[in-house]
Amino acid sequence: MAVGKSISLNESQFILRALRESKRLDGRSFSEPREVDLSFGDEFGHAQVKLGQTWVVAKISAEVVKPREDRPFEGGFTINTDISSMASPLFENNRQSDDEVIMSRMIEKAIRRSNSLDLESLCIVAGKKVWNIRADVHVLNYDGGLVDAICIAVIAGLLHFRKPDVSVDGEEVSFHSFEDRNPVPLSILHMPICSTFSFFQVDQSEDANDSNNLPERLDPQVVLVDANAQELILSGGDMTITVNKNRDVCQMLKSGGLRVEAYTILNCVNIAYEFAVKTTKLINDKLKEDHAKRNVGNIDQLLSAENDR
Amino acid sequence: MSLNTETSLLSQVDGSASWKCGHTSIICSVSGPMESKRRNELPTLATLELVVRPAISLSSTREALIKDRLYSVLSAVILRQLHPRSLIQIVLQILEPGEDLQFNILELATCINAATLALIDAGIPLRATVAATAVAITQSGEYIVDPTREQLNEPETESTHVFAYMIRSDNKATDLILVESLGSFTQEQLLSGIQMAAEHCEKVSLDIRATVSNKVKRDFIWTE
Amino acid sequence: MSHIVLPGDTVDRANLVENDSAPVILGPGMYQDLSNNQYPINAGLINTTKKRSNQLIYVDYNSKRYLPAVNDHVIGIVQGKHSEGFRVSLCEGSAPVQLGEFAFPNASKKNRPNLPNGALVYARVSAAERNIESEIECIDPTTGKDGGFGELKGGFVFDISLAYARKLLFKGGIILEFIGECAPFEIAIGVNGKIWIDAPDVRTIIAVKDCIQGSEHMAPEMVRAFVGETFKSK
Repeated sequence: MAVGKSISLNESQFILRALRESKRLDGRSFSEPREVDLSFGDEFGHAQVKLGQTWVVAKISAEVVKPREDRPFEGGFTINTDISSMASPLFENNRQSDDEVIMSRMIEKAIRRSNSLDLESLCIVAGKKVWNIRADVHVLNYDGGLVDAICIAVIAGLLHFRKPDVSVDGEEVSFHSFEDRNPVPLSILHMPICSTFSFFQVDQSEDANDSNNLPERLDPQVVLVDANAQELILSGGDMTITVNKNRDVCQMLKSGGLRVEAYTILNCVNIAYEFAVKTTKLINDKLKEDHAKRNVGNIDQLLSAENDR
Repeated sequence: MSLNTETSLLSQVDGSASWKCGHTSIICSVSGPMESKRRNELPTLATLELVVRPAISLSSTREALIKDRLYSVLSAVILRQLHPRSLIQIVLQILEPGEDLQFNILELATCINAATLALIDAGIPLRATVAATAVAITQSGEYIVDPTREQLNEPETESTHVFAYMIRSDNKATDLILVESLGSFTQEQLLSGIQMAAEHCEKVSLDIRATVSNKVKRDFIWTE
Repeated sequence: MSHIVLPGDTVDRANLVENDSAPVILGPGMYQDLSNNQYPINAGLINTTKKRSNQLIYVDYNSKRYLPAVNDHVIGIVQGKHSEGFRVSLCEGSAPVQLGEFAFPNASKKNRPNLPNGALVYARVSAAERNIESEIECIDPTTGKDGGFGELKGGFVFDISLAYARKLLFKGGIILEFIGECAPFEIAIGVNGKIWIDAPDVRTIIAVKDCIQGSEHMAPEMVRAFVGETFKSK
């Protein structure tokens, strides 16, 4: 998704010229995503992701609601992605552009429809009371790669979140405060990770004399992983692939734009898979780090009811 | 109370600041003066577009209240007549409220402080800096400045207040600009609360000054 | 001596101005309200300079949003053409300024300048009033020649903060000398925070851009090493 910033001809020509010489302005290689910086807040379910200059925050919350009539055993899960003009003045407040709608649909498909959150585990009393999990995504700064960053933030937030423990006695439901009983994590079935690819038609004919002198000549088409805002403006088409570390492709979207060879897409899936493996490890490491910070005095073991066998 | 402030942390907007005090954390962005939409244009003043976004769920009457109070403070302190027909866009994102839903004093006070910093960072012309503080008064007449979530939830807490002062002529809290009170309290309590808040707002203004000084030093690092 | 002020601070005039009797002009960042109080309205370094027999007091502050002022040299992006000239953007999101079709050297009804959308121009602000559209021109009014203004072809343009742009343009910078030692390059600095650079090859342009952007908040003594490293790593 690109917001329509006005970009000068000089900039666009230079960026394409650099791509012809296999260079990106930020020094990355074509298939190199930006470094993911993940951190957690004080509250459970507060995850921040920085992807280059892009900065998103996901807040997970839970409330008890009545389940839908047709799905009495399932809890609810909603993701709210509303971009304010804090991310960039080019986004309008309180109004979703078409691109934003496509983006939130994509995140919905990647996380909710791929069943990464086990909805049946959210049931408290069938047909009466279930948990509704809500993910509020706040985009603080925009520099491309929104879907990728949001997806990591929501997944990390869900894994970090704890809901109060519940005991059910017949129809009686009682909720235990965090002090009373150790809060319980959500049951996450798999961790989908998104990678966005952008396609560029690098026109050779434009300054033919110049390109003859180039040491390496490229295919006229260039594929960039995790393009930044400037590159996205020039992109001829984007594709987002969602995979998990089990090599399942959960979602894939390429809506129009440049024609792409099927083989290129296979290649993209492999790159997306590598990114998913790396990112999954990062999330797990960071979760462990955060857990160690909270688990002062080894409270966990004291509260645990498990026996050493 | 631990305080953590930062400026110029967002790249796409003209000015930004974060203010984290205790468990309340807010980030504010300011853009402008920009070209305004025709329908929002004011012939003699800059239009203020203010958005307050809650950490969880969609904006409700609670945020509308914070926004309304904030608007009255900011429109008094921004020299809007210097940029007629333009737009100044201010977005406040609450990251951690630090209080339960029935209260909003910590958020309101933090919003005011964060917005002051972000406006300075963006270079918007201001009459003065503004500093705000939240105060809770208990049954026994005790004043708690910047109360915690637990202190607010105590049944002892009788009333909650937010006071904001314009800070002029070198760290003196001279002009009271906002009093927002809820609960039952006596006239004397309110007056002494106002007085106490002045002292505390002066302290807050020192924090603002320190943060801004760091920013200016960083911006003009090449000057000897 | 300059020191840091915040909006609303009292300005001790005796301390700032040598000759207290000289008339004072308030420059950018200063304001006089209806009750004749004078105070800063931006946060920055307060400065004074002599302007003929007057004393100018102003606040040097940094921001990203450019507001047109007469005689500023700026870089703009052409956004559209209309019957009398071009619409040019000096700052993303700000109101566009006018570039008249006769604001070029040797322009006439027969010889109209032609600039495509997205073209870059280096120009001078010729009119900037609060209540009307600002105007720029690509002509030096004293000579009627181009004076270095006009379309910027090729190269690359990027944004920096306004205080840094003013510093690079007015005081020059050791940074530009250091880069010059590493590679030849061409530069145009707009005080609207846009910098245009050109060099023979892509590698140099990217290195120059990284040097200028990266040294914005760097202590002067670190700059030389930084420039050397940036060029080496490319």
